[in-house]
Amino acid sequence: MKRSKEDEMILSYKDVVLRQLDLDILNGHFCLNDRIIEFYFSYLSSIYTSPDILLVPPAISFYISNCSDSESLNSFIEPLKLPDKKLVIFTINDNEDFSEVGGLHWSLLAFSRSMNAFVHHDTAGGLNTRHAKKLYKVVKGFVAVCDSAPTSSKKKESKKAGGPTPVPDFIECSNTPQQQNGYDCGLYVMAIAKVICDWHESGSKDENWFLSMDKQVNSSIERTMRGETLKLIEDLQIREHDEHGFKFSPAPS
Amino acid sequence: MSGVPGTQEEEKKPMDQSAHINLKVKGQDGNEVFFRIKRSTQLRKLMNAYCDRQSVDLNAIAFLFDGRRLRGDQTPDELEMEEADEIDAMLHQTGGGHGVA
Repeated sequence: MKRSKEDEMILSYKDVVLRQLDLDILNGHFCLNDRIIEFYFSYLSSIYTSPDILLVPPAISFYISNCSDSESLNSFIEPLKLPDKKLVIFTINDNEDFSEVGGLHWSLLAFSRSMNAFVHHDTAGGLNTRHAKKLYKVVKGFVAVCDSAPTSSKKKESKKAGGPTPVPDFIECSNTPQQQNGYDCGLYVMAIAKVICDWHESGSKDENWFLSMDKQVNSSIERTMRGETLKLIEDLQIREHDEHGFKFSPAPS
Repeated sequence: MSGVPGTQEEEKKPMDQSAHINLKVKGQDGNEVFFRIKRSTQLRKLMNAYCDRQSVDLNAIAFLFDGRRLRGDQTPDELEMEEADEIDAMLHQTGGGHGVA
């Protein structure tokens, strides 16, 4: 099998393998792929370690969104243990052609148990609202803490008295910062995910993260966040090198 | 696509159950391909074989199992995969926000 320079492995981090082509995307003004976002989500999970928060890998969000077979759907959703979480962050992608690598736009859908709502943050107006609602409809029935859910059987303390929780709402967040170009939506998804994690772990008294998002996410990330992410990858690469020795010699195919 | 049919017959060979495992890779088009590999073999081998067969680039596909993305260096043993388990193969997504002025 041919191995070109862009296939070269750069970093293996948790479930994600980043390659040179991913660095090339970050180095230029190119659209982010699911792998880079998943990498960033994994990184966030390592800093914000609360078991209350779940950052769903983009490939899994996309699969759940588009899965037509209920048995497969259950096998993907159950391991996520949604009833145990207070915050769940999904990504939304507008790809509808499954025969090729595709999609034009990323946005973020966050489930908040305290709000009992799914909040959609779309940095390009409501370009992805239809797709976000699709995922909302699929998962809204899986987040409730209920007696019959086998995955939540050990969490006695989380059962609420007073009957079943109402079905969560869908909220389109109109305060979401808007991107200034046609290629940085993925950065905003990463930045907003970080704000949500930070808001939760800091124990903020605000009832949601919208104010924090207003303060921390604006168009300056379009100038800074690609570089910061590249630096992060580089730092992790050095750390891995120090800890394990360099492991990516060209593998036989 | 290549249109190569799945080789279901491989699944039925009853030999050496303990060391080997039969796995199914299902594409988004519903096409299923069956593989028989050693439980201790890295899944990279299966991934490469699947991509070769479907004539797609390895980097274009995400392999998903039980709510997680699979890495090439993982093995069926460490993932506690069971006989006839299904792996989903999905093409990657990208996005930038086109349509914004």
